[in-house]
Amino acid sequence: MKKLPKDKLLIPCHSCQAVNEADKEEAVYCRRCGCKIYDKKSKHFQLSLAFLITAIIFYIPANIFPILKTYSMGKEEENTIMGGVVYLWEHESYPIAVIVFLASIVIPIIKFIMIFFLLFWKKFNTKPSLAFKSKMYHLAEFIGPWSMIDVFVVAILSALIHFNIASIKPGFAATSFALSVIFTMLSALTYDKRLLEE
Amino acid sequence: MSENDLNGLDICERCHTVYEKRPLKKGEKAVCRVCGSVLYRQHKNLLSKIIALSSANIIFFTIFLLFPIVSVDINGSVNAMSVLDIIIELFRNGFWLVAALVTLSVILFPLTVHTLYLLTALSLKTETAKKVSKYLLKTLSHLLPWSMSDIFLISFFVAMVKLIGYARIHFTAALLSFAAFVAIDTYLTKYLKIKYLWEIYEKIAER
Repeated sequence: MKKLPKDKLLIPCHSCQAVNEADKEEAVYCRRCGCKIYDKKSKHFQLSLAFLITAIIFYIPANIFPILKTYSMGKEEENTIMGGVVYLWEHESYPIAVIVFLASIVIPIIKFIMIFFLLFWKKFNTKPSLAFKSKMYHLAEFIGPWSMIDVFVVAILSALIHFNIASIKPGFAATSFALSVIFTMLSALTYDKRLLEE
Repeated sequence: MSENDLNGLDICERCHTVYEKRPLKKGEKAVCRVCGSVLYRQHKNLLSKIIALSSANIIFFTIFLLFPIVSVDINGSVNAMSVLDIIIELFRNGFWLVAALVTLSVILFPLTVHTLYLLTALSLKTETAKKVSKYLLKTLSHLLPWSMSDIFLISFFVAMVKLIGYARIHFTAALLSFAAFVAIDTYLTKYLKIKYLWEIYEKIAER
């Protein structure tokens, strides 16, 4: 392979995966699909950080407020996300409890930490390899949408169970959790991949 | 580097290692030396496969949309619902955002993705409308991360497990059809990657 000049880097297009040769400073548009890979004055960093912060803000009410309201025989019961996991565990559906716990508590937090690290790794006293950062980014992108499980479960349950004797209604946390997931996905999508290369 | 040199390169999606591409024999695959993930494969009749699978999937999806996927029976009162009923119910309860999200990520995006797969594969196969196939491919690439039918299926089973003990649950053929849809969808998007379509497009565009 021909040697690459030092001020250039090879970067895959995020939408068509064509390999592009790019200047570190100038704006780059993909040679095949024409999508913008990055700008000269890149706002990707700020955008990605802003989305991440929004996601974290929405994640807080998502855990405090009830995600499910159950009405049964005149009794009303409210369940938070963690309450739902505990309930499943107590009723011995261990695998499901683990899935929900992973999808709605562990994955979002891991994703916040990963994107935060990928944005600010220069500030820490570490020099992670390109492969390590790239794998981390790939993982963050892959596991992101799986935290939607809890939102979908609530949506399905509340639609199916609305009888006179028993009914389930979604709580405020469902909306804020859904927003949190969307904003983390946006944060990963707008992330400037040049930060991986440096 | 020239366009041709760049076309001969491939970057591992997972660990970002740069490779020079080599021609493969049928059924072979190239694997990354660093992280072990598959770089690319040699597929037989890629376009025909995509046309067949995506049109099958559009049929499966229509069945899933139109018929009830489950019926729930609590003390004799029965409630059978299709996915559209589920969404309407959410709208009625005032959960606009969640309802809109389900509509987009479970119905609109997956359906559009497969229609786009079908149309692009057709236009690449007939080698007509190069410009159109480029736009189709671009839209497809941007839509893929937002299509969540597989996650919806898993969520559905989690919801059913939560109901065990309270209600009798009857599954229907439409649910089976949705499961088939998800299986084919996973195969299409994760195994027959969209970058192969881009490569075919590139070969046609050069002519």
